[in-house]
Amino acid sequence: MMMDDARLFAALAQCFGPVDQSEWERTTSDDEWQALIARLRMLLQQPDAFGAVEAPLLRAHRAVPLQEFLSSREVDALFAPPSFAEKQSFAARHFTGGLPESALPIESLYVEWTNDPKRSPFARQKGLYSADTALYMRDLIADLGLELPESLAAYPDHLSLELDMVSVLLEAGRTDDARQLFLERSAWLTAYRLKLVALGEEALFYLALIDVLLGVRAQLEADEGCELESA
Amino acid sequence: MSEHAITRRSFLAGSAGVAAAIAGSEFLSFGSWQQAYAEEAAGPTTTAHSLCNACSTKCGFTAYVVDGKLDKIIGDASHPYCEGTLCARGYGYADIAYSADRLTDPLKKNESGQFQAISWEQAYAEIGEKVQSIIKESGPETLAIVQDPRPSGKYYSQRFMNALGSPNVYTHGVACNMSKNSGFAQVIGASDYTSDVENSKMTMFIGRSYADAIRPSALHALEKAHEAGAYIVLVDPRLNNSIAFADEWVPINPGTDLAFILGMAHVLVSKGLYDKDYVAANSVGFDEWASYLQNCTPEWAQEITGIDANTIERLATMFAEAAPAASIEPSWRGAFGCSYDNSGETARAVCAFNTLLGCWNQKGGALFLPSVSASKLDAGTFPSVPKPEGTIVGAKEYPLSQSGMGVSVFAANLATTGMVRGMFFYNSNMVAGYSNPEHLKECVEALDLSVAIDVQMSETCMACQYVLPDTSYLERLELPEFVSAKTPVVTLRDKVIEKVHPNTRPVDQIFSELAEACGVGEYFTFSVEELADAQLASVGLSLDALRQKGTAAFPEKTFEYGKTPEWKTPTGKIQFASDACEKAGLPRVPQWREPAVSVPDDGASFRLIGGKQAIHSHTQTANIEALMDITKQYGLDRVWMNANRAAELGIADGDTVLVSNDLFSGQAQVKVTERINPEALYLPSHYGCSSPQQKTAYNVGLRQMDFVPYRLEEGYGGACTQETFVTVKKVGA
Repeated sequence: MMMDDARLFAALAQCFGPVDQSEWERTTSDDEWQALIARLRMLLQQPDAFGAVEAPLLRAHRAVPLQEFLSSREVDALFAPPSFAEKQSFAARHFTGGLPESALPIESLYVEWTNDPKRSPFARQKGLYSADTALYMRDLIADLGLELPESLAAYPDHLSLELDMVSVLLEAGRTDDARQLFLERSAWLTAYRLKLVALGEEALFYLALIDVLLGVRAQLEADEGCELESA
Repeated sequence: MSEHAITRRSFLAGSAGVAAAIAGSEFLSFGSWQQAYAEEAAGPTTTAHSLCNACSTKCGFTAYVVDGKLDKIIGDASHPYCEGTLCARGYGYADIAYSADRLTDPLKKNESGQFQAISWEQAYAEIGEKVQSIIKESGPETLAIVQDPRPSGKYYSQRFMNALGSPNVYTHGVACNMSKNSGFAQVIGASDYTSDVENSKMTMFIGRSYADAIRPSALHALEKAHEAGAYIVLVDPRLNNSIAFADEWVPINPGTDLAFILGMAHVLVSKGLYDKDYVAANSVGFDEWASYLQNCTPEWAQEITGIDANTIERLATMFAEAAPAASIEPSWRGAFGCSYDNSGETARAVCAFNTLLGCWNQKGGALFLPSVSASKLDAGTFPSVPKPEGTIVGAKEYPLSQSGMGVSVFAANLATTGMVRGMFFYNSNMVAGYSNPEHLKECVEALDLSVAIDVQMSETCMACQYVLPDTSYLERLELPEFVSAKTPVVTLRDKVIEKVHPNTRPVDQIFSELAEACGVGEYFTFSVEELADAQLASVGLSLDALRQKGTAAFPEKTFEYGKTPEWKTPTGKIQFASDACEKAGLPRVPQWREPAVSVPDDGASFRLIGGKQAIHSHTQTANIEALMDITKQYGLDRVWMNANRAAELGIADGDTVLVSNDLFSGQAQVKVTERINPEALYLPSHYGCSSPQQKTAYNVGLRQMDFVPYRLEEGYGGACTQETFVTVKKVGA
């Protein structure tokens, strides 16, 4: 079964956001999940496949990409997505605020509140909710005529919404815009990754997803570099 | 299908037609958005009046909100506590609304001791069931609440507990100013007064520093007094930062302020320098006290206080010359709010001394400022809660304790006996701040039900079974706050920004919903807006009107100098002698009483004293990054040691030392200075956070309370926060 990138990013969005049981079970059904992994594998291997409906032929002589980007334990975790109950349990411990084990996937918490020094009072301070990235995502979502879900309305730069926005752009055929948005909105994942690492074994599934996203990002960046050089 | 989706997989609803919208979008990239945002001057600006929450002063300010985000706050000139100026805490604390350490969901501790998010419905159902079970099995008097008073919190927490049938409503006072207030009440029938510093000829501060625990208007008054030539005296083991506006530092031995006051009183009485007519007309028990004072000579006081007898005599004489435009300032927590086993008695002596000056309600003296309060409201809309039977737990054991504050840690201590089974905490970090944290943690953990309501994971939250996430003070309307002042005012904490976290709830909503879950919802059938408007209507105002102004004055109630107050004591007079004190096992008149703990004369021990700083005054401010940056830049978490003592111990400025006693041991850097009495080691009160969830404050500095044993002051119930000593040695020596 073939999965396009719009569906891929929407499915990845679901991994970090609040979804109901039937939806999660549908996403993680064997066929769906195998298709998701296959597509991720392709993006890690072929950056020019990003957004392509018809996948280019696999290039020869490449190692298995997942193991280049993930530890063997991460690979195992990626192939065994959590059950709905396990996902709920993880969210109750880590996708809530104010705990030492909190690991909310919200970009604001990892970037400067604003880099405009004229805007007080917390310009350049890191680790606060509602940073400029949240305002940007809020405005972008509204500008495109989209609506925020109530449960995430306070966090427009939640990873689920950022990935979903990539999905929306891809679905609309705006591959270059999707690529740009993904590159811009995934820089913070390196810092977020450290949060997950600190959580140890129980966060391996989410860590694997983040590492895959960082891998895709690295490939896209390398690809952009090549394009610039050739230009 | 998910509530979040219109298509099977999308969180973002409404994606039909998005392609056309994308084509017309002005800012698909972050850079183009930033440019557009800057050019639009960042959207619409709104303003709202609110009250700061960084300390108990609650200064008024106007908040400017740009495009939904807090942009700036400016102190309101009409607010009597800030007079247009906020302190650093006021500015810094505003970031709590956006803090990464905010609690975002109701939490329940699981069997392995870890918190996990649960729904509000589950939290209410389980708490309600437990409350009703405790009431059925043990009675409502086994339930209690502790709160650090805030405009809505103090109303709703009391109403909630009383509705359940319990009188056990406590504040933080046991570790703040309760002994002082209670001692004052025994003498003057009021729990506090205000020194008219700016108009005084002489004011003496005992253990209080306006320049450290800042109330801006108080600092303004001190500055004016200094410029006008008033003689300002600081009696403090530590030379605090108010010295910039003071004339003399009296480096007293810690815990001996009572002897110092008695020595000065001796001078006034023995030399006939007191206001005899005033004392005769307004007081009872003077002869009894005068008789006791005969032996309290300056030489006697010198032996105890370490202050030269001539200084004591000189200052007493200066007071007599300056009277009635002079007073001993009432202080707050500092020396005798809760610090020693003689704090309440020190407070009595302060009021007795001021009476000798005849300074009550005199210009430049000690004033009882007017206040206004809401009248009784319509019982149909706001039904009265029946007065609970019995008295607050602790009142019998500590009969002089102010009932409006109560001995909270005594109630907590009863958890280990089963006599208190359920406790709620609102905006209160009892575990870290009120007495020995390890002991209080054990007490809270022994409860059958423990619930904390807060914005961040305090040590008290950590010890509780349930934690309910409050909105920050910027995200809610609260009830009007009536403020006593020369011209009394009413002020408002209005909502400044929308909730940052949708699953947090304001205090009025939490208590109303808890009440419903506990079966007493009939007392909470009104909104905070309705109650606020009704309270304001009872004083001739409206919520809408106050929202516009933030602060409204009652000029018809303006204070007038020279009026003799109504003394609300049992005798209707100022009481140099108190039957209640005698009944509580204390002397009828203020007499010298040693601190409970003596510091060994072994060359290595120090009495550990605490104190606030201009940028930190409570454990809650320590987690503010901007304020903690100042701490780190200036080394404000260092302990202070006298230079001579340091030399004897081979300790140099900047050394790392090990501070120890039988309760705790920890390392800190030391500031070696001549600005501290040799017997004292100063440790700022608000560091040493042990909650890893507070990432900025965690493990910075030492916590004073870790070195303080659980002990309560006889009669008054104060937490005796300076009844302890430590040894200090250089690390690696």
